[in-house]
Amino acid sequence: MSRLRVSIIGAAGYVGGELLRLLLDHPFVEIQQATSGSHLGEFVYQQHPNLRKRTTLKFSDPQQVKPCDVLFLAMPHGESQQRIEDYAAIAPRIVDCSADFRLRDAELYRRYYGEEHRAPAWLSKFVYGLPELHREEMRSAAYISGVGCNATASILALYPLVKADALDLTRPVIVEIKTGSSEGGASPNPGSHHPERSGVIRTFSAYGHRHTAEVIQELGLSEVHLTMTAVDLVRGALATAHAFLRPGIGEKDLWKIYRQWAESEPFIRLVRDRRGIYRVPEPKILAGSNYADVGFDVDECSGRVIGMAAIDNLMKGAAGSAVQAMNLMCGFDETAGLTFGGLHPI
Amino acid sequence: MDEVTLLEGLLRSYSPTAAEQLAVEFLAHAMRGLDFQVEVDAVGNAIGWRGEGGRQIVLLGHIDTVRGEIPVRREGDLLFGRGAVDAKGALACFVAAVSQLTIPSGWQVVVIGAVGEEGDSRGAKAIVDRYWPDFAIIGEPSGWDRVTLGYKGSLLLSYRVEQPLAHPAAQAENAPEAAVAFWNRLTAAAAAWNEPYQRTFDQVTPILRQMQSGEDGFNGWAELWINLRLPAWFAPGQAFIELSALAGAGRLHLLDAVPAYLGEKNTALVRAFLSAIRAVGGKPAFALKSGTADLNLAAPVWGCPAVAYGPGDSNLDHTPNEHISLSEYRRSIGVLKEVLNQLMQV
Amino acid sequence: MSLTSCPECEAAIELNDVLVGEIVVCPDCGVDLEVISLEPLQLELAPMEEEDWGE
Repeated sequence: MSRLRVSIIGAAGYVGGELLRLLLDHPFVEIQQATSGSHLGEFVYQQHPNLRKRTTLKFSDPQQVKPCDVLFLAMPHGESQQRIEDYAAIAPRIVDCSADFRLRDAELYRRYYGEEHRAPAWLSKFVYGLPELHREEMRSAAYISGVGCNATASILALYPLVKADALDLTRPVIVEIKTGSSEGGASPNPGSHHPERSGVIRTFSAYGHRHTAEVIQELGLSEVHLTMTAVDLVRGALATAHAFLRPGIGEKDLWKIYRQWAESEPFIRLVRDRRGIYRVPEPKILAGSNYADVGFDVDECSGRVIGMAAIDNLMKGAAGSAVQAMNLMCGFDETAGLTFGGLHPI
Repeated sequence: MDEVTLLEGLLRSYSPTAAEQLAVEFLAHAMRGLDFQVEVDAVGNAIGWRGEGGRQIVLLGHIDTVRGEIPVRREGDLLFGRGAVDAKGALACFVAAVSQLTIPSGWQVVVIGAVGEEGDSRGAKAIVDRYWPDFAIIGEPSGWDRVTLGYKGSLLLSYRVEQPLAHPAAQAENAPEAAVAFWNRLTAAAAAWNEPYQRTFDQVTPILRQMQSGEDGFNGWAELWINLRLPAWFAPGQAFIELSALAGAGRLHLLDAVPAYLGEKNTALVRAFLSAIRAVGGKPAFALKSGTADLNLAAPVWGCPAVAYGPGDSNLDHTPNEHISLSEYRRSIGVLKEVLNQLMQV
Repeated sequence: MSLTSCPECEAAIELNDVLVGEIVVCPDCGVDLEVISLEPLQLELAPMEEEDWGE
């Protein structure tokens, strides 16, 4: 079988670098082009040093993208919606890692992004990029969006509970997200300056974060509250969701709900162990891995359930899910190129 | 001789450490009457055995008790007497159970009533090299439905500090103050060592046993006798080194050292106890003891599966109210018979 | 090969060549389980380790 040709637009960023790392090892594709306007002509390993000796690919001109089988878009927010028609002419299948096509509803987009969408007609053509929720649609999709890393962690922490109709939705659903610095992207800002970022536990979005819109859309919840806190990690996000169970649902039901889900999903691992040090989901050991570790606990006195999901924000929360989506879209084994389980110790 | 007459006779033969002869004679006589071959060895241990063969089970009890005679009396189901719990109950249980068995060929079962357990364990020390059992059971109260897997270790030492006498107004630290300061350093160090551990079994427990001080006109001196109860992670030698570093101007003298012992759960011996306790309608449990017993001494030498077992509530050990329930005593005989039968069937 | 489930979390547990009284670990929740019968295969929560005084 000849390999499919894939290209990456915006390959100099962190998500682009992870896409390159994954696709270089992928058994069924070859990378045709990796573009970067600001690093044109440089070897990709000069931006992504872990790829030295893995490839001699150079960044090419984003204006001169050749036709290919699958196009990954990894540009800053707002760019792909302006040029989606052009990209669609180059490739029959697109995975857009940006936030541009994650929402189906232009009004929801306006509410959370504070501006009108530039290509609202395209919103309905995209499938939301989380395979755990949209596997079947992805198999026949041509256009798949990316996922927000914080949204992914939040959705995975709550999804089994919502799907099983285990929650009392007359009571609040609140998600606390702890996240590493790489989610801010490769461009520095004053808050990411090392003396200011190192050692922080900084709540940078108490409410109203844009990723909330994805959680509302994907879980079908009218009300869900997210709070984001930056912690002293480079990679990783941990979502801790607090909600209340419907009467009659107990720990054994939760075991069943989570286990059924984890058993049917190749990248969801249920972690609720009485042994060892890692008894609950923790992002530390997931660096570089597409696995999402999920878990739960329940206070049977109050009925509060605590759903937890740990991910690598650049992997399950971005490039990993994007490659998994490509696998589904192209009819490959869903896990191709994604089986790395993480490092321990790290 | 029935099992109650046996236990009552043992209790009536008051046998504090170093004065066990009367009880040893009683036990030797009783075992002969119950079809044991019997020997009283050079240090005074009463040893009885049944069966001949290459495979061996040693039941090591102790016949001495702490001081303080308690008049032997029956009150309904309760039998009062010094040693009823610690540990003539267990020793009588061993003899009664073994006397009621048919020993298969190829097996030998040895019951030892060792002297000196409450002192320097001279009885057990004298026999450990004489036996190479396949299984060992140490006779100590666990309760009829529990199996004791481990005992803490123990380090006994003295601390002596001398200081030239100075006028009290000179405010130099005198010997009693130096000793108190050492004790305070020791308890602070123990608190720090114990920080990660929840269970008493895993913690270091310092006990101040005696303190004395005096002066001869030129010098003052102070002396402490200290017992450290040690968890399995803290070898006595290591503990002595750590304490030496805290000793300041004083000198430490090692008096006795016994490492902790924690037995393996997945052995034929433990399996036999669990199923035997369940067979008589009990719900088995495991016990970890904060004291020290002959298990610590014998089990590492023999290297075979070893636990401690015996009827009685060890909270009554060494108390003036020491008594045993005869119905529990009979149940423990039933359990032990079942255990020995299972072990010798294999 | 015998199949049973964890009494704590209901994980499916497959056991081969086990003995009555053997302690096994649940692959999902990590609890200690005691094999209390073979035909049929039955598991119960293994005994807890209780702390106690005693010399």
